[in-house]
Order: sequence, then C-alpha cells, then structure tokens
Amino acid sequence: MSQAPPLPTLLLIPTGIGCAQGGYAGDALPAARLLAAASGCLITHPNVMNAASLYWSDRRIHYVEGWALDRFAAGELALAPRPQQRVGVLLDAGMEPELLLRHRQVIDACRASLGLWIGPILQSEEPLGVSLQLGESGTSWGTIARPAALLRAGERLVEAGATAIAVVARFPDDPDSEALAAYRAGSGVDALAGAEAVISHLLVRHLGIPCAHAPALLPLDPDPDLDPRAAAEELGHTFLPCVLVGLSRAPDLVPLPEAAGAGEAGGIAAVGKGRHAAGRQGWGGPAAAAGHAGAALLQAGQLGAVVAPAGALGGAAVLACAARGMPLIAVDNPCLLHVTAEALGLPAIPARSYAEAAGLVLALREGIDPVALARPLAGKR
Amino acid sequence: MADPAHLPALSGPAIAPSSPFTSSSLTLSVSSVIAGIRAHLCAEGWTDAEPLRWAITAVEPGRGLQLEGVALQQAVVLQQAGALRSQR
Repeated sequence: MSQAPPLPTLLLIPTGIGCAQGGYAGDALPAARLLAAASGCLITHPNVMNAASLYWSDRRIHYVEGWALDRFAAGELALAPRPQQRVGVLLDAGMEPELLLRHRQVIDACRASLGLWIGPILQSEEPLGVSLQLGESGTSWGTIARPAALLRAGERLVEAGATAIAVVARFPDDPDSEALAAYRAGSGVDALAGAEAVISHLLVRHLGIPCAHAPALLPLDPDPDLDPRAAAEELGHTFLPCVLVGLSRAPDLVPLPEAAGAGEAGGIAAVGKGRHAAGRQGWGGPAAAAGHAGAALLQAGQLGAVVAPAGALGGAAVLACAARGMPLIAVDNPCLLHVTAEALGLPAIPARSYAEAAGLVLALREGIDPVALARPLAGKR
Repeated sequence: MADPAHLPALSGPAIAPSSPFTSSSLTLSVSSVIAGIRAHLCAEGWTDAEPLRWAITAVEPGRGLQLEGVALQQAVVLQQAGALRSQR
C-alpha cells in the first residue's frame, strides 16, 4: 500500500458508446476498485459503478452523477463527502403494479439487509414517457415526454426530506430487437444509457443534489449465451440495488462560488456549515456557503489525474481537465468513437489496460515521472 | 405500460426534435463548444437553450468536430440527436 497522500483521480467511461470495458452492466467496477486502491481517492460516475443487483461500496470511491461530474471537473462545484444520504425514491407512474411491487421490495430489502436510509418514496403524477434513440455516431441517446412530471416529483421528494434521489423510470421493452441481442452477446451498445443520462442530468441540474437512475423493464427470457459483462442485469427483477447503495454515500454537491475560501489546489478546503438548500433556486444560493462549515471539500484543483477511454476524449470533463494541464491517461478501451488525443491535439499518457493505468496513477501518486518507466526513454538527448 | 404518444399534454417542459447543423466557429474548449451549440440552437429558434449532455463524437480532417447532444431551454427540453460540425 502506498504511503504517499491520496492522488484524487477522475475515472470516466462514458455511457452508451459501447466501451468494451464499462459499456455493459457495471463491468468497469474491477477497474474502478483497482484505480481506487492505486490513487487512494477516485471520483467516478454511476455508469462505472452500477451493476444492477451487484455493487461495491468503497469509501475511497466518490459516486457522482455525470452532469455534476462535468461541473466538478470545470471547477464549478466541489464535493463534500458524507457518511450517509437520505435517499428518496421517485417511481415512474408508467410502471405496472407488479414492477412497482418489485421495486418497493428492493427498497424494503435495502433497508432491512443493508440498513440504508431510504425515503420518502413517491410516484410521478404522470408517466415519464421514456423513448430511446441512436445518434448519428451510433451512440445511444434518448428523451422523456414529460420532464415536468420528473422535476415536480423531485421537488416533492426534496421538500419531504430527501438529500439524494433514486429515479426508476419505465423503459420501453423491446425483447426481440437486434440491438438488445447484440448487447446481451457482448457486441452492442447499451440502448438505455442515453435516456438514463438525460433523466439524471435533468434532476441534478434542477435540484443540486445527488441523483441516479435505474430503468424498469420486464424480465427477459434466459439466454444461455449471455455475455458475462451483461449478466449482472439479469440476476434480479430490478436494477435498483446498486443505485440505492451508490447514492447512500454519494458526496454532497457544493457550488464553488459559495464555497468561499476553498483552496484551488493542494489540501482539503473547509467551508460553511450544514447543507445547501435544494432546488434550482437554492443551487448556488447563499445557503450553500453556510451549508458545509468545517466539511472537507474535494475540488477539481486537487485532481492529480484523469483516466478515460482513448477513443472517447471529447467530453466536457476531459476537456476541462486537459485545459488545466492535468495528466490525462488514455486507456485502450475500444468503443464506437475515435475521438483520440492525437485527433484532438491533446497531450496524453497511453495505457494498454486499466491495470497499466493504475500503475501510472500510482507512479504519479509516488512522484515518479511515468516517462521514466518506459524504454526507450522518451526525450533522451 | 401507457403509450406516451397517447397521453394528454402537460404544461411545462417538453421534448422537441432538432435538425443537424454545421458550424465553422468551434475551437477545442468547453466554452467554445457550448457557445457553438447555443448558437446553433438559437438559429433553430431555441433561444437561451442550455446544452444538457453533449460530446464530440468524431473528428473529421478538413471538416472539424462532430457533436451530439441534448439541450434544455427553460421550460422546454430540446433533443439534439443530430450532428454538429465545425472546422478546426
């Protein structure tokens, strides 16, 4: 185990782009665990951590929804780790009674067996109306017909005391589709991912608290050729357990202009006391400054590395980190995209695997120049 | 499951389609990309639209950056599933 101080590291594996590792059912979790051990502090997003009925809880890993993660990387908000969240659950009114019951039983199980603090629970006033789409690149996108119903339900949960929100939306079943068959065979894109991201982005942007999403679907017939990377989604009746566990210890989101006095780089900054008011109007309001007095904040300026698939470097978080001159570790993780460091003109450290990336993170943590680990020695006079 | 296409309309936010477009003004920074997306949306009639989720999905020599994403305009959510290209 390294004796060096933790090196806060950002792990990004964008959802819905068909990554060979991380493009399925939480199948980047082993990489996240290794990177957490190497760095001592890993910030990553639900797509990396969510494996339906499977999950891994590690206090070194900070579970941050993608919209908030982009703002964190841009230096617009900080993360305030906390021992527990009160997770409100928003259930789509479009769910059938049996699916609804299955999800309520997951909530009961997570209370009884894991001791999670869950509630309140409510249904949206109207079905959310999720639909799925593919973009020009083949990556998955999606939308909801009634975002107002989503946002109103979120507001009601916050008013009732929720400090984080798990959303369960009814997704369209398409059991005979070629896309689903390819995904289950380990060669396709997660068609649900794009719409899931839109739902959670909308809620986090509106409420300013941790949120994550689980799709509700009817069970599929067993497939003897199911790819192991997709298997976690077929263990149970819902995808909700991992979301509840992830949110239960997700960090608070603290708007940085109100985190006055917080250091840009170096040590952990301490500000305000309590929590910021939820709701879009409270998102960045004065209450935020008073919200975390004495709390340890994690900020983008403290990041020591960002790890992302070599072909998917065109997202907001990577670009923000690159603009700050942060070491960018580009991992060979094939996906639909070819937006590489070379194509974008970004400096990057290549890694052939997440194991190699973890070694590079450990080298950075120990103050070793990664260049010194390769032969021939680059830059030799 | 209820068919969303046959549900009564709600007041407030809604999803709307948008067409692909080409831009020649983007550089490789978050602020430039967001400004380019905003300009495109504005040209399509969605003033003050805010990109909600986006990514560069291709880099084409001689043509520039291709973007895909979703934007939000105050009370209206705007689907931008098409492509945005800019010369670099």
